[in-house]
Amino acid sequence: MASDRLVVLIAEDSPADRMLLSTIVAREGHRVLTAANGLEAVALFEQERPQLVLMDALMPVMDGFEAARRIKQMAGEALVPVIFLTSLTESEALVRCLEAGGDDFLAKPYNRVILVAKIKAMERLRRLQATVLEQRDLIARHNEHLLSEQRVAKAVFDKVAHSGCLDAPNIRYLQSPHALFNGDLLLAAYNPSGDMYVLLGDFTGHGLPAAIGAMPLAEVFYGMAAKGHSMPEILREMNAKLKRILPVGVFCCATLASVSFQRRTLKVWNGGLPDGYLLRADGSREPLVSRHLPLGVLALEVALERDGEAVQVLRDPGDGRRAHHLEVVVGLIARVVVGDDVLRGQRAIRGVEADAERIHAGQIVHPVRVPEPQRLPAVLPRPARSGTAVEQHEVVAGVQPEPAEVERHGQTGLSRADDHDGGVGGTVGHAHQATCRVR
Amino acid sequence: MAISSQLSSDGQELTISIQGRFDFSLHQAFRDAYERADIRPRRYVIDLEGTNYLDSSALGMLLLLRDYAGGDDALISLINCNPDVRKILGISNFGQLFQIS
Repeated sequence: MASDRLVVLIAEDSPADRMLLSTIVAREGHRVLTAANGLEAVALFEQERPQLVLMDALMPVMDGFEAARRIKQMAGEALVPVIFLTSLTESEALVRCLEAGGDDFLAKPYNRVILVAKIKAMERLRRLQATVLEQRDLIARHNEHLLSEQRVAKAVFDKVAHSGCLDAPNIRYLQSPHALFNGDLLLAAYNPSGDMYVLLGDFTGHGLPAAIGAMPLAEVFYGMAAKGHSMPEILREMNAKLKRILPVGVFCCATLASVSFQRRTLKVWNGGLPDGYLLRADGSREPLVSRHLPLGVLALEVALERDGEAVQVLRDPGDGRRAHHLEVVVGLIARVVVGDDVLRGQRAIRGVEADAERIHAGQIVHPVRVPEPQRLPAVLPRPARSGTAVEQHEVVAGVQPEPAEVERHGQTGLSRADDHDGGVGGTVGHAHQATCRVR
Repeated sequence: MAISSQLSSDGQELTISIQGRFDFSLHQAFRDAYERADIRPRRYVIDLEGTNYLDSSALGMLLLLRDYAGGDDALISLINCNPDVRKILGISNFGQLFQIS
């Protein structure tokens, strides 16, 4: 086979041995180059780039050890097998041959059969190395190609996924830089009445396949939020969309929260993510348990049909001085802080950072600015309709024209998921902070 | 073998046992355990006694089995779940889709 034909360099100072070796090698069909000393061998190697070298150890001008070292250096990553030809028998000398970069040695006097077999064995190694290098380079090229494709896709993805209000001063999030794409998703948008929707999602799997479902999800989310649809409507549509387009077995665990700054309510829906919490200013934690299947599993989200239990409504009892947190610990982490006191709020956020850093290192932290307090019209409270409260707080009626010293409590419970549901206390003069973290 | 399956003597029930980590690496093996032309079980039992870890890919694989076994009509029970596994199934509310014990 033509491909079996090699260019073999023979470096040997004895003309008789050189002749003998050349004859043996040439008879095997290889092309032979000959050198009478190490220096010649190195020069010939540079010119002709033979694939295999038979190297006498002891030669005038430059010995085989030095020549082998130089040839190996010139060969770089490619394997150019060097077989030492030696009459040396002490193990120390043989070890020197290998240490100089020799791959094998052949003792004088030469045995034709063994020489031919060794050339073949070395050729197998050489091919193996060449294949490994070729495949490594191929993989590197493919990977580079893939990454550049992903960078373009990521730019598109970011345009879609981050078209909302993630950069709002009251939102803060962390995103893991582990992969360009991952299945984790954070979306935020205002609806026309100024409520903020925050969606944390975690798609099954990793990488691009996991991220791809995020695009349509984001489009539904932003589109419907902008049109003022209610949480159940948005959830139903997102679920239907994902069910329609995702293959079976791919789904999105998600928590959707709606923060109403005016009514001071938090509405939370959790499908498949670990418990979130409402952290009250007094330090108590109210779990926000997953009560639903993830999005995209069932065509009909049965739980959503049960109106009263679809969305957990938590009324913020804010006393005008304290920060309350909605904390959603996901494969992601998110916290929404709703509070009034700037300093306290910032302290709370630093607390969030500490938490997040404990859980995850290497995040991106966005600086938080707290918006100016807004004056909002006072709203008279309506009694809560729900009889299925998970935890009853003292319900406080009344309007506070200013954040007062009096501590007010809200009521927590399950209620109708209707977006026009009345909140409890009228609230005035609040700055709010929402902190969302994703890892 | 991380996955083994056994058909009941009447051919009505296929039990698939999973040892160790139930994750994406078992994707094909899990599929092979139930996608067999020679059997038509009515019920499936996934024995998770030896399962100490379960990820979202595993949940996806369970959904694929459910789809294969008839979707809403599928009869699939997940048995011998340890507390960690049960917690994951609970968070995902898979109790709505599978009988978990």
